[in-house]
Amino acid sequence: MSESVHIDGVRRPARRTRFPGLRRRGGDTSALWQAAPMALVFTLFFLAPLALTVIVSFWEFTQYSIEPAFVLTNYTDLFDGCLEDLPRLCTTLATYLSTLKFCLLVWLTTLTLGFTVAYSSPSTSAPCRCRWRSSCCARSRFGPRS
Amino acid sequence: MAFFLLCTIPFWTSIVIRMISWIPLLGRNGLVNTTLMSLGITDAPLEWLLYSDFAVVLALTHLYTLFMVVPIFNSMMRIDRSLIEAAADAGASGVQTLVNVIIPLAKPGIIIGSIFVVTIVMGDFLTIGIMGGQQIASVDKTIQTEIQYLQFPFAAANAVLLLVAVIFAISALLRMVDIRREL
Repeated sequence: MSESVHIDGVRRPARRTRFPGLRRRGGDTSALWQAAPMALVFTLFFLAPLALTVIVSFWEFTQYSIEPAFVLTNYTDLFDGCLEDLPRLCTTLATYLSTLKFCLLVWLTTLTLGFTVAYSSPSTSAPCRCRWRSSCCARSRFGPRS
Repeated sequence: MAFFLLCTIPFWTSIVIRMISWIPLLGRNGLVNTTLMSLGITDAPLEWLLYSDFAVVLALTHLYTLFMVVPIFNSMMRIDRSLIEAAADAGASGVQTLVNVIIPLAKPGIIIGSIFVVTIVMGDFLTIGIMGGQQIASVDKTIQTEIQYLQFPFAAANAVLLLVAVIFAISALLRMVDIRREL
């Protein structure tokens, strides 16, 4: 561990710098300031719109106006008549199921394709025709030998 | 790395153009149907090629495979080569090495790629709209329609519901691997 000379001339072990935010002493807020820009962007462009969306989802609306309120009718209207004709799927459930179906199908295809491409890409596969076992290759699949 | 530069070339054009370029390929008189008919494999043009579930899945796969490739490749590059050799020395076949060594070690990449793909596909209504010929319903299209009719609160409620669904999917994926530990 390195040492640093303080103003009073006493040699003290240098402060641990690995997690500066976790070991603040004497009101050192540099870690907070360093995190501030990201936090600001995150709040402004992600948290605030999300919060607004959640707030607006409880408002009332008519054909020509939107009024601040706290009603759950938007959510109940989403599932309007879903329980009555349950064997038959209502529009909302059918739409969600359709989206989920595409999600699952695309997940499977991209996973198969993506894994195959990554596995057989030139950087991970052997540059010369050799088995895993042989040591003929200086560069072979995957990272360097540690 | 040159391989990845090659992979990014399609990303130089916009998503819409890449999507539309499928239409002359898959259409009724498109390249695929003409080739199939001239080879005598089919008599009539295949109707399910374009504006169908197949077309949607094909286009989404085409657009988003790279989001799966890069994280998986990244975690594969970190696999210690001596582990593969040890598996081979212990007598494991290629498939056994793949299933028991490579896939478990590439799991963080697989999960991260899956999160990318799931969130993007759940929020994609353009591809489903264009490749489905505006005939296939999706939650995002519903939200857009509601916004067009100025039913903002209703659209917001729908969006919150979709968000909850996506969060459920992601938390299920994150349960499979400890991302903090693996990264």
